[in-house]
Amino acid sequence: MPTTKATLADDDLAMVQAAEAALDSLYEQYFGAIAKDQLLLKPQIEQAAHGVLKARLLLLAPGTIASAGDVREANRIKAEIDQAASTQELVLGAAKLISLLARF
Amino acid sequence: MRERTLMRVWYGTGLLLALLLLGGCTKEKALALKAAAEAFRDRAVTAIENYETLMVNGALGPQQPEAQEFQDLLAGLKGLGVGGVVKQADVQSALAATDVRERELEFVRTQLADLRAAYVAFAASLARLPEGSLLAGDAVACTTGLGVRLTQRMAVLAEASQAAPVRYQYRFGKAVGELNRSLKANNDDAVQRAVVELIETRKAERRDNAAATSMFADAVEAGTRAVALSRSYGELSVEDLLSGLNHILEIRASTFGTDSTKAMERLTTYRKQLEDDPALKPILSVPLTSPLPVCKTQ
Repeated sequence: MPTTKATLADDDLAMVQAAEAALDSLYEQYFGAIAKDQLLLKPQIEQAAHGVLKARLLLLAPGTIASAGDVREANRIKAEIDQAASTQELVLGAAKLISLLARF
Repeated sequence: MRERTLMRVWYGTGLLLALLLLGGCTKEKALALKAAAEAFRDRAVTAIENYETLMVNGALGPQQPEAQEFQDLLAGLKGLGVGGVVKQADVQSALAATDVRERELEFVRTQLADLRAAYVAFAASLARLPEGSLLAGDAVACTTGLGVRLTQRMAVLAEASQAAPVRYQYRFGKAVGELNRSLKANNDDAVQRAVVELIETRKAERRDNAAATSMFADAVEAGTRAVALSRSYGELSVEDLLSGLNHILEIRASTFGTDSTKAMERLTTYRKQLEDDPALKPILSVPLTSPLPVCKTQ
């Protein structure tokens, strides 16, 4: 069935996986944080999770959603989140992820 | 003259009998095809609804019991209250967080509402077939095309669910956080509990993803069979149609929770069945991004 999306576009799949990896990092930092910091991070986490769900939904529809550049950007943001030294930097990293996922 | 009238009466009676017989037969066939379309609809809608919940569980965690929600809120507020006063805005924010999962589930359901509706419309387009609609032939022809398209969509979902399994991100993140805290505090019991939760999460993730792929593959199977019945509606006997229908109704629910590779093997078999039908080639060649056909149901 050549006209069916027989295999998912590599970039789409990589984009969802990169976005999920960034959300993983956010969750890791969130669950290791104290309650006050968790409260600051919570809205960002929720919006990032919303973005990941949106990307996943697009994966179910025909057509391509992401480029190789988007994937690189998602990986870069994940590295920023992993290396964040403060809650403020984490919030900033989360905001970048949310902004990237909002494009889709 | 009288003989001619008698002939007309005999001819008319014979025709009426033939029509009655044919009508009864057609009704049986129509009922079988209608039931096949409904079985496809049910499989597809169930698979989509299951996947909606799976995706939200992955990103935001499973639905918590009320007692757990209370404990989480209490712990959060206690943490905020240390050395100071809890502000109302913080309380509102903490309370709103408990609604997030429901809100996202609603979002996902809305996004997939059109897709679910397409399967409902597919079954609805054949709902009046047993009443002997004048447009029955057109309805069957149109629903064959629509059935192929909708089966293709289910195949895409089966592939997506297998290629990119939903990850239980929230649950893993929580367990890893718990593990790190316990290791820092040298609390062996808590470390063990966290490790058990990590193992359980991985098991649940694999089981639920395999079940989701199997459900999509079941829907592809039901769709392929419904298309086959619809495709040869005019040629098949009532027995053939009923036998085909029984196959659809017997599609195993026992595949849930098994290896998703087996589900993909079934998927390949049924997709090939559609591809091998030359009459379906023009439908299969239309890009999936094109709108689905709409069948008049009068």
